[in-house]
Amino acid sequence: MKRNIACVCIVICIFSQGAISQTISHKFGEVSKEEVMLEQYDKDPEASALVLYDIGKSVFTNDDNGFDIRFTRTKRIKIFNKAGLDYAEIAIPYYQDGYGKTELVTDIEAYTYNLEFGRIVKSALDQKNIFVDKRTEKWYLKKFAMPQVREGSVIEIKYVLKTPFKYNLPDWEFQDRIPTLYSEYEARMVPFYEYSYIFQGGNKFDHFESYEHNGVGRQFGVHEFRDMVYKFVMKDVPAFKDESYISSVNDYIIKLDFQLSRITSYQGVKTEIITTWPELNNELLKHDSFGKYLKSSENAAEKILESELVLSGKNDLEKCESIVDYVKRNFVWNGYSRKYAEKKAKDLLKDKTGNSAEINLFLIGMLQAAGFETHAVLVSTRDHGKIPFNYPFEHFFNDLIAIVKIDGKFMLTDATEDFSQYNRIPYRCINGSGLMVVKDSDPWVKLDQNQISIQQETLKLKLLPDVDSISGNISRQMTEYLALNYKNAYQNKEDEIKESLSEEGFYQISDLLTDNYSNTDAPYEVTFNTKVPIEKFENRLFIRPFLSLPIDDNILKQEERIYPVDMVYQNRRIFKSELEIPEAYTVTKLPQNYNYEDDLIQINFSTREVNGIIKSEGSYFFKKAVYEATEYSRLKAHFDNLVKVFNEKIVLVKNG
Amino acid sequence: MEVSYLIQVNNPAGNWITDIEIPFQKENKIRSLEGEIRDGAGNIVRKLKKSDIIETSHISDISLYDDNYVKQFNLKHNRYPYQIHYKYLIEYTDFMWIESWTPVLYTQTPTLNARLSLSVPKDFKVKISQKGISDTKTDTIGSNVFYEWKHSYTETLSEEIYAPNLRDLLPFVHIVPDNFHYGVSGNHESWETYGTWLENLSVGLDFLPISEKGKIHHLIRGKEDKKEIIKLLYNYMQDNTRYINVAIDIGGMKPYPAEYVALNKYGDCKALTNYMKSLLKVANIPSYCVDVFAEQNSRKINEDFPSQQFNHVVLMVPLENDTVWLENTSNTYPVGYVSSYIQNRKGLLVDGEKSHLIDIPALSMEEVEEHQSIIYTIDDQLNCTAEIRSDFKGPKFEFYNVVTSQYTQYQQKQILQKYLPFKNYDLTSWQFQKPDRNTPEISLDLNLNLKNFIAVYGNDYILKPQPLSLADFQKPEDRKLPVKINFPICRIDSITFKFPEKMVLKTHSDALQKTSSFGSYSLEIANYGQEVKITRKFILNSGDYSLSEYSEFYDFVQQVKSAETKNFINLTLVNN
Repeated sequence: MKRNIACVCIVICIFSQGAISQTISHKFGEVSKEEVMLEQYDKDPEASALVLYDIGKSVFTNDDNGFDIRFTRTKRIKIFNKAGLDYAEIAIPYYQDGYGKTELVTDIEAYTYNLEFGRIVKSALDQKNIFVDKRTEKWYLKKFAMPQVREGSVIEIKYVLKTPFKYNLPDWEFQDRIPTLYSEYEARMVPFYEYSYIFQGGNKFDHFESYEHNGVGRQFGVHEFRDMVYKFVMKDVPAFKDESYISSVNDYIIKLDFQLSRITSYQGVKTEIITTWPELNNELLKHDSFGKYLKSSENAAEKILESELVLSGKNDLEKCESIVDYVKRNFVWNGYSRKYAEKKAKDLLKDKTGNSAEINLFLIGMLQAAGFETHAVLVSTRDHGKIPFNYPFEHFFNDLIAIVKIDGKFMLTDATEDFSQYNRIPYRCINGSGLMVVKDSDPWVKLDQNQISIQQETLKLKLLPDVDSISGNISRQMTEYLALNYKNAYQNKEDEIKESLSEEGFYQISDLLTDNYSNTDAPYEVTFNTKVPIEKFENRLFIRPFLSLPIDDNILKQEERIYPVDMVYQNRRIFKSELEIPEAYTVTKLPQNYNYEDDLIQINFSTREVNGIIKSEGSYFFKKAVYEATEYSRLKAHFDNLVKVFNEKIVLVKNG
Repeated sequence: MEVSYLIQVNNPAGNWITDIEIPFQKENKIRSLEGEIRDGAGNIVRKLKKSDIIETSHISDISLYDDNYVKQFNLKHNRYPYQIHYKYLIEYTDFMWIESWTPVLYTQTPTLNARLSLSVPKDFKVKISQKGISDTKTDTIGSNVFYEWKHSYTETLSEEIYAPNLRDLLPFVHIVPDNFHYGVSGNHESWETYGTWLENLSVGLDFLPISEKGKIHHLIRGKEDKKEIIKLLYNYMQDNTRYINVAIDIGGMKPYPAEYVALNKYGDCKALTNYMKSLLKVANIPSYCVDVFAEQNSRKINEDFPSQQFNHVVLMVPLENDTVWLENTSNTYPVGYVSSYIQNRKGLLVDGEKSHLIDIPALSMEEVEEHQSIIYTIDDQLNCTAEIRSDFKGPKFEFYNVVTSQYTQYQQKQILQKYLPFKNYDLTSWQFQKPDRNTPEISLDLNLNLKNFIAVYGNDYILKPQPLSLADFQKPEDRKLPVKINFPICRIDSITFKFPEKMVLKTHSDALQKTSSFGSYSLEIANYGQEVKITRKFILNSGDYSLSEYSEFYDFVQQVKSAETKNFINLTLVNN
């Protein structure tokens, strides 16, 4: 008898698993026992929770004054285990523009469904327990925790977001960090607002349809119209999984992104919001916070060039350097990436601080005043995602740098990053391509940096066999982004540099010196004396030629890779060491020389003994800033190899 | 209260200090906020404008919602040196504390002059506790009493490993009113009166809905053993509630009623503890709230200064021959587990007029004992695999308990790869196991393929077992702070190397035995045919040691470390 019951259970399980995605109702409130009893998601048994459905619908509503967008969302989530409880805390973002216009989140309804004594018990969210969190000046969150949630619960929420901002037609993410069974977005468009959209990360929709809404026609002013309905569906979307060394989640998550492209007034006047990149540029150049700011910057700069900053006697490159330097010295970046000025140029002069657009537009104004051909370059920072070229959407950009023509050649420049040379762009801006803001045109400029960042270490080592250690002087020179990142990370503070060196295996450090912290023209240098223990056994000593400086662990841990490995810039490590051997010792083994090169990497290593001194040289060079996922397994094998080659040991034996 | 700062920035490395945050609570108004930058010559370079100040919510990481807000602005300049100056007024209406002051803004930044002054009407009685303040003054001017404290902090302190909480080492002035009204009236005369106030705040919050009571009765029907009942109810609470913090108004002090928890099945530490207390009450088991400052590196309670000095609450259930401690914010702790965050320190037991400070028990050596068995297997081709079994207790149990219950398998693997003390390996399999939810133990089985593990020198093969990972300690000459080891460490490892027939053991490092008052370390090595077995035991006692004892402590740790780095076995080919 018992056996029979067991069989029945198994059958039920199989049945419920196989059929779960087909049988789920997408109607708010229609939660089945099956869903509450579901124990795992077969396609991803590790998932801590599962989006059973997520449905959004945007509709344009109107009164006589105009249109608003009403976005309704319903979503049902199954919680499998404690790791999934986070999904029972809900946060709904909304925006206020600071000038009286606001989005509203209303009609929040939320229920938790649990199984108790074989019956489904439904618990409602108490409206009292909804809170408002003012995240930033303009972004707010409505937050609540679902009641009665435990392992196995199903939660369901519904809310309405009303927005007067037509350019904020809600976008839609089909993917989450947990798997999604069903995701649907419906946009009901009216003829007065036209949008384009981008579908990122996915191959195709499982279902797409568009049709004219039948039923009663709508009225706006004298116009009669019908909604155009667009519906996008994806099913069984896997969980998004973070990988190390990716540029931004924004670049990879499956989503639909909308941009307002044209407005038609009820009199029939068409306003193109954006149709092409050149038009976007023309708009910017007319804009108060861009073109006009630029113009007043130029005027202000002319005065500076007359009185404060003398450029005569300098060639173009030197002039440009002086100007960038002047802007860096006089204005402090406030840390905000922007593509528009948020104050007037004269306020920048007064405040001495500004966002990236204010500072770099001022720089451009100043370069213009000095007679250079120069333009703004719109960029999207690394954490903001890449630019899809085919879609002229302004909101893809969030930062601004400058480009200037010197001796017939264009050069990128920036005045926000103190520790960079005048002809470099900040680390955050190395991200695909940028758009040069030029009238009636759309020249794109590649932002990847061709300069190779180099870290070179020179070791002068002396063996102290009596105390089982090596003493030595190590000098580290860094250039480009390696220097920049080191400067920004430790800010030239002795304590912090020492701490980071101890993480590299150097615990005893004396005479730590740095050079060129504020000088961007020369490599940043860190030198120190150190003493490290050596491996000894019997009468033999084992020494790594470059101590613990080279990489000694493969940083690539995953077996496979879905996204590219983004190392941002090309980098080269160079090591040179000289190890003095006491007379009482003889070299019995030197690591093998090694040379390898292919399209991904270059590795060189050599060592030899000359008059009681072991001289070793080595270098490895990552040839690409970004490695494709298809190159991953080769790259990983190279790392294995690197670790091996650079950690082979010199063996010394005591004479006699 | 009037607050004013003048800060000098000498070079770009100091710019971080110009990001100013002024946190406040909704009911406290900040007025007359002014700020400016002055250049090296003292000229005002820039004045803070209203539009420079951003005001947002400032909800703490552990909260879903609270009343905290923050005003933020930046006063950065780029010609050095420069000074920034800012000041504001803040008004409090209801308060339990007048001031908890330290003349230190940042522990690593010297404060040249710090001054606190207080003016109170003569008949407004305050209690004051101070430590390490160099200059103190009291005066009566008219009908007001005027106090002033001055101090400069020039010898900056930095965090050091195994050192007391810096909070315990900094000078301070604490001021509370004798009598206060916060929710209900109370006074700071003694721990008894303070505890009475706490209890008054919770009066009537233990009511449970009938349905909930019914469930409790059903759950414990027929059970007699109190420990069994406590376990059942604690596990019930764990399975049905979760930690969510919502602090509004005096919610920082007053728990949400048990009914609220029964209805929503969530709450903060106070609400969940009060709920647990109410569950036990239904079963006629009395229990007491114990306020505590929860942090792994414990802080001293100022025992002579009865006041709110805590950030957490747990439940204590006294039994005839035993005491059970319940941590109610964890869904996964075993019943009665005293974690490293509350162990071995004073707490305030709240029992009306009988309220008093009590000792929360310390984690014993046995409760932290950790076993690890590693079997390295080497084949003819010199491939090496490691089979590792770890049995964790104490703080490591706490860590992996969180890892297994709050992270997905995918994340667990990422965490393991981050913390595994190996390099260049493939993780072929791994599994966590918990013997029983009410036993504070967790085990981890790992299988690794190790690359470059064996060092080959001609016919010699050198193998080194993974050394104990011991923290990096400052050299005695650099050490500034005394030593504090909050809980003991006890690790017993068995490391086996299995090697193929063609190899034979040539030599190995020596057996060792070191004992000191700080702990002990031993290493034994035995060879059985194609196996070498190393048994390693390391013990570090908990305790407080003065700075003068540090060098001795350092020597002990260094001896262990040095022994660990020298630890090896040397295999060689048979026909050699």
